[in-house]
Amino acid sequence: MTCPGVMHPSERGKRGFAIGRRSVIGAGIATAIGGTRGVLAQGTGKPSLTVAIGTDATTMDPCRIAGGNDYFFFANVFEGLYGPDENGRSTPLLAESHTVSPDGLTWDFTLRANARFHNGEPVTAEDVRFSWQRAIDPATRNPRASVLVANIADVEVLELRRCRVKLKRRDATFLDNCGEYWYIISKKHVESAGENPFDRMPVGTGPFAFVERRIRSSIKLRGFEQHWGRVPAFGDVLMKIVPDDQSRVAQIQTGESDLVINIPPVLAAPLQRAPNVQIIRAPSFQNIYLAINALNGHPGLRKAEVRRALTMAIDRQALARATMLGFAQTTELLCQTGVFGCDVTVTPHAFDANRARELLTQAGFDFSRPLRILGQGTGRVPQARETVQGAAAFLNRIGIRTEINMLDYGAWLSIYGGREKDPNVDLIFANFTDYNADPSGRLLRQIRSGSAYSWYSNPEVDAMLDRMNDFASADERRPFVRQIFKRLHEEAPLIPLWTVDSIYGLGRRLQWKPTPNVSWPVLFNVRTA
Amino acid sequence: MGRFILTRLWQTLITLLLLTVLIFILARLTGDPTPLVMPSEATDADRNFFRQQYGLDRPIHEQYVIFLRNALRGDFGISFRYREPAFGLVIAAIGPTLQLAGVSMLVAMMLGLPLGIVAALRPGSWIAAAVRAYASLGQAIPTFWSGLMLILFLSITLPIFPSSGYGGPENFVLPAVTLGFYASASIAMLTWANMTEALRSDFVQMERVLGIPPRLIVLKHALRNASLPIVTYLGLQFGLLLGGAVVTERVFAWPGVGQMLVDAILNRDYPVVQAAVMMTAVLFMMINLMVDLLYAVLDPRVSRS
Amino acid sequence: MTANEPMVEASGIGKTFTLPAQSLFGEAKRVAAVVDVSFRIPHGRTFGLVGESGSGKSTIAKMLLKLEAPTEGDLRVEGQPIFRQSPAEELAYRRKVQAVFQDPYGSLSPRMRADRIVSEPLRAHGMPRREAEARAPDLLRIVGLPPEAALKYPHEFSGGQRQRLAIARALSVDPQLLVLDEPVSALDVSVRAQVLALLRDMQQRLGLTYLFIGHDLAVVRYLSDIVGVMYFGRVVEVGPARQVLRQPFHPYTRRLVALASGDAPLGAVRMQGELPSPLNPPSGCLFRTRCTYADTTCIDQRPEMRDAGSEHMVACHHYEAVVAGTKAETGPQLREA
Repeated sequence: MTCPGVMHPSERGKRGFAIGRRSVIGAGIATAIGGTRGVLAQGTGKPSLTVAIGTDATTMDPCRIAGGNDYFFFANVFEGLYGPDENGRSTPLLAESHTVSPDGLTWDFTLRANARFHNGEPVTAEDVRFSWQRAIDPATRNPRASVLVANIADVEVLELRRCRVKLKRRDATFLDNCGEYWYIISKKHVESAGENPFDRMPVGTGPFAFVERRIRSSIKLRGFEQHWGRVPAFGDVLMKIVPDDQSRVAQIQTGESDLVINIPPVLAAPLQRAPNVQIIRAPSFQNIYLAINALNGHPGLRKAEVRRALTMAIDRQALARATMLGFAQTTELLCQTGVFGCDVTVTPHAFDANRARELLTQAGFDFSRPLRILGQGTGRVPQARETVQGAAAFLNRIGIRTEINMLDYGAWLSIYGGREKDPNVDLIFANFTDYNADPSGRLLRQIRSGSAYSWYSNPEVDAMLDRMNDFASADERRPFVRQIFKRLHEEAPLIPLWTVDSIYGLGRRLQWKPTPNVSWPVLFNVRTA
Repeated sequence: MGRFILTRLWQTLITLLLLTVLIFILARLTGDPTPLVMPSEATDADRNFFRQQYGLDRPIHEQYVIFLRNALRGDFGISFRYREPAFGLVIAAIGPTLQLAGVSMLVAMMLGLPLGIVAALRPGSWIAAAVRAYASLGQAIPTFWSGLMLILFLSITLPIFPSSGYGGPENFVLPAVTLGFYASASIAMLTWANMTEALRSDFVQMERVLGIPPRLIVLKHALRNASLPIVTYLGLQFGLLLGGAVVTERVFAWPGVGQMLVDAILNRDYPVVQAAVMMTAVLFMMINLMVDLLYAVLDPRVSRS
Repeated sequence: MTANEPMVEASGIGKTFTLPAQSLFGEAKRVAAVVDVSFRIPHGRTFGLVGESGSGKSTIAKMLLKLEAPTEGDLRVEGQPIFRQSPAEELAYRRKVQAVFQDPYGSLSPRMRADRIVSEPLRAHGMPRREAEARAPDLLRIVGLPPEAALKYPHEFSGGQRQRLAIARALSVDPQLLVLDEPVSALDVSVRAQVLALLRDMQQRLGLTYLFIGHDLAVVRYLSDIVGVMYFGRVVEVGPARQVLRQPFHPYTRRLVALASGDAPLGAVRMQGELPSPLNPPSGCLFRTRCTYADTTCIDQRPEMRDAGSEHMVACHHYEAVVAGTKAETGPQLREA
């Protein structure tokens, strides 16, 4: 059954002057000066919250999410059967409970009786089935279907609030990924809303409901009073898009916004002493590392001992202090504390410049040929430039010559994710976020030979990676994943540096513990102090 | 006069046509948009479909013809990033940009014209030296610095104006002053030069001889004669403000077309790049046409020649 | 006003311009455009002022028109010092003194119709627009322009007609003194005669006093009663027109007249010799660098204006000998350039 979803874009084009309905000509929206600072929202009697964010969402359709940035919207407006709790761990959301068959292929979910959509309709098993169908419908062109929904063979409606999900293959990441890769949508809403149902009025189940949007300007949400368990303390939420870091920080300094996200470390440090601002941080799973071209770059890089030595040459603690001003969690492994299977003990490649040089010489490293480093220039990742320059400095100290090439994000991505790996690149500064505690998604795309972001090839490791999800339970799976991390630690296909802390600025009258290990703000637990 | 308009319209059309070719090529030179649009989880089938969907797999001249044919109907395609019609996105962005450019020009004129006139009337005085210093500063100080300074002093330290965002009149003040200060520098110098020349001109001298009161000479006659080059310059400046206020738009979170264009280039969003450039060009040319018409009205010599 | 009082009396007027310093520590340069100039213009007469470009004659015109203020000396019109006037007195002065300039196109506002142009001075002096414009046809008639001309714009007139327009405008407020700065220099030779005739006619009918500035000796001679010759900001010779222009005394004037008689206008003839820099004038007599009769006296002493009889004044140490033909030519050889 095909569902009326997104129209083919070439057909949309034929409609000609389809002017964006979010015209702002002449409209004057009430500005923050009047809007926040304790003004009560209409009807609920609850205060308003103003949040300043850096980039606008590209879509409001959960089947068309193209990147982690859009989650600032989706994580607050939509939910899956399971999802992250306040500590970032997987917990039942729309489902109340589940059972899984011993072979790991059949999952039965019981939905909460009081789960509702923003249009008032209760969440039923029909909706769960419909959500799957729309997500895999070719007409929807869900670019991330391959991760979860494509592996679902069928969703069977057992009762009003019970459904049976049958997987094609065992997938130990299924439950974790429900939180980010399979949002439950309302069948009634999509069927009645005609084309582009989520462009005009996205309807989800999350703690916040959509009110209105001005593209590149703001998104307005409203606390969902009928939420099953996470009713927010706020009535209206206005998310203002302020791309410039300084201007965004100014929002909290003037009090025009109550919460500011993505504050770069350089701006956060001095604000820690400001009287009217709280700087709070939460660890994230945004991994920062240097990928190593073990395929066709500098010949020395093909040897694991050379790669390990390079890791030893960089003092990541000092580098983190200097460039990230301490707003980062350094890591030795290709994962961070909290990631599944990362609780493994290894012999660290401790910082030791002399030893590193020794090992390189022993391995016959050709010092005469410089290492070419590809960096990221403009402001997607804070301190990207400085990190590369600092790492290069450490390498220079042990006699390695480096050549740095900084590119804008698009050009960097073309090289980093290119089909053919560029032999003129030896080390690549990169950031890759784990959406949740499960590392398989990243590892498969970052390490497995032939995949988009992999500059490394090892058939043994490939075999391990290919098997890493084929388990029925977490307990069975864990030792295997630990093995993988141990092996990768020896192989050193990357030089891991740290994970970036998410830095937020909060007004004094508010109180909030941001969810750790997500790279976007989850707002339902913001409270007045 | 009618013939004049027709000629200019014809010239405009030819220029726009050439521009379509140029922008079409330049947009595609920014690089392949596929890695930026498709997430890392996408399959090759997804990527190929994307390329096919937007005609990126067709030969380049075919892509151009499709683009031109659609553009003539106002259809600039769908934005790769936002999946919305590019035309609509740019129209929504042009509004704020036009408004800001308009208010900034007003500020620039309110600052620059009086300063230029006063300096021309009192050359060699400390006022003239101050105006010269003002003009140097205005052109040298980058808008992001002056913008941030204004935010610091008039929004953070003294909470008078909002620090950023598009909205009511109070939102216009800081960005318009930032841009206006910058534009007023060259307006002040140009006014100064033109006024001096006008004041020295034979018929202004003549007017003094005829007994016309000096204040009247300055205000009515000299200013009108000096206004012609200034009107042309204002037209040019306005056009520059349309497309060039990128930095100010970014600092003040102003959802304008400058910032949109830069983002589109960084994201390789061809349809938006093309739409933004074409529409800004059309707007710019219309403004120039109006300036020329204004010129013809102000100076009867032009329209009759 | 007594009968003997001249219309204009200039006593030792001078104008020095100060150029701005080129650098922070540089000195400002000074240029003396007019130095120690004295003359008198009787009522109803024409005073012709001749000289090369840069001689200062236009500056004198501007001073008389209060467009520049003298830095030295005293300038009086009808006995009143004109640079100590109240605004009301100045407005009255602007009725009394009007001007016609060389470039008719430049002094006529291109966007104004002829009737507005000629009525402009009246309006500036307070007459309501209707009334002022009602006078236009008469004014145009006086200068020989047809009544239809009232509705035309300056670019629709010929050069000669534009000058007539300028004259009409100048006459509109019944002035007593007209400053004419090269009024016919930009016109065709054939047209010049007509305009000059008009000017003479106006003078006779209305009893006007003229300051006439020009570089064409023939033109100057036509209108002038008195002629002054300027060189480098100073008057070197002044006297009755016939005397100065037919039998000049000063070597410079003699040279001018000799060259002009070849029917070449003054500006086209070049004299040999080093042209002094206005920033660094020569010592003694300013003309000595181009004078064939110059000797050591000329280097050491600046010549004063000397009375050569019947109101003829000359500033030259050796003029008598020069006139008599007894002065040796010791200076630079003069040749036609």
